[in-house]
Amino acid sequence: MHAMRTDGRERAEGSVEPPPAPPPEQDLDDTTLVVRAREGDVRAFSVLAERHQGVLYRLALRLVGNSDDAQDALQDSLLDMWRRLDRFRGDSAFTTWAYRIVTNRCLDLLRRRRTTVPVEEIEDRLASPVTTEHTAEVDAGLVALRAALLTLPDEQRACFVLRELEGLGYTEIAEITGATETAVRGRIHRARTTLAGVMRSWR
Amino acid sequence: MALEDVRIEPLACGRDAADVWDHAVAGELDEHERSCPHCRAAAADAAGLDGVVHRLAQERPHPPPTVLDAVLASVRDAVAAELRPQDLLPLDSPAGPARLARPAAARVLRHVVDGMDGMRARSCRIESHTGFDVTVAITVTARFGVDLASVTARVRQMLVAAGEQALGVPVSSVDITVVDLWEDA
Repeated sequence: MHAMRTDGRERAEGSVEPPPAPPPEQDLDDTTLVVRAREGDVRAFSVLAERHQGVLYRLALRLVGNSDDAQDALQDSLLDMWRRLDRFRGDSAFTTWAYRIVTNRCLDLLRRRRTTVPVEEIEDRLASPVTTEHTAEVDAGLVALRAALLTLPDEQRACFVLRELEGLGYTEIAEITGATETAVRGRIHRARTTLAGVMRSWR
Repeated sequence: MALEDVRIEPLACGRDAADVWDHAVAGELDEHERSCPHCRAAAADAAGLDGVVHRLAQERPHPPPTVLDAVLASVRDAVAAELRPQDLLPLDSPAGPARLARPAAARVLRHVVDGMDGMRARSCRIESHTGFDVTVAITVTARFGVDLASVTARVRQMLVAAGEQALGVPVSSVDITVVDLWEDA
């Protein structure tokens, strides 16, 4: 018994204090992660991408209107961010920069789709967006809004989504879309009045 | 950009339609806006849309994990394919040439700093010079209130030790810049 006690004490005295484990990278701020990723730290980039992918996906989904295209846009945007990190100078928030990349990617995709998809197909899609999908949806107003959003001109939809669904201010939206604040304000108002007209029938 | 895309028609009473809308959504209608029929119609539209927009904003669809997995796989492939000779540090290895990728070495040194109480590493640049010696330029952020003189001395000491013991790279100088201070949330 005595020997065991000694053993225990010796172990305690002899043990070297292990260096404290660093806090997880998930705790690091965006700026730190951006700097590290820019210097080739893939792990730092993965933490950054994981942190923001939900918000960016939501934006893409609302801009392009279906999950396949939204996933493509998100994937391309994240790769773009990795490649262009050295051009992100930190004058604006990382999220603003990321929103801009996703928005541009989605608007490009919509433009391309418009030139390659036959007009009738787009018209079909717009004519019956409610009946085919979301049949289990109980919130008819929500279904109607989602469908109506897709009928807006792309730039209007982008401004509306960034303002009303992401809660951004006019200045940041102008920075993201590359339009003037006056144009942003005008587009948002156009979108609001169009959508309000649609929603009147649901009140 | 077409002009009509951005112009906001004033309401029949002369008020800016977008302003009335913003006031309605914020619950800040003034006396005129509460009594004027044109403003009230606009405010009713705003209220009607706002509820359903709010419900849509609350939806939180999430991308499947396959998206990020594919991105990171591509990034790792690109990193491996794009590794240039100047991204490699020569190691003093008697048995034959050995090199260490600079980002990997930087990662080890940042990890050492992150393990110190009140310190986080940001940029870590490692330059090789004559022989196998390297110099390290590191930027750090520190918790508000830590003794910067003693903590940077310790960073220097730890990086020299880690360079020699963990990486096998003699560190001839360490340049430390404290770029930001933070407070615990």
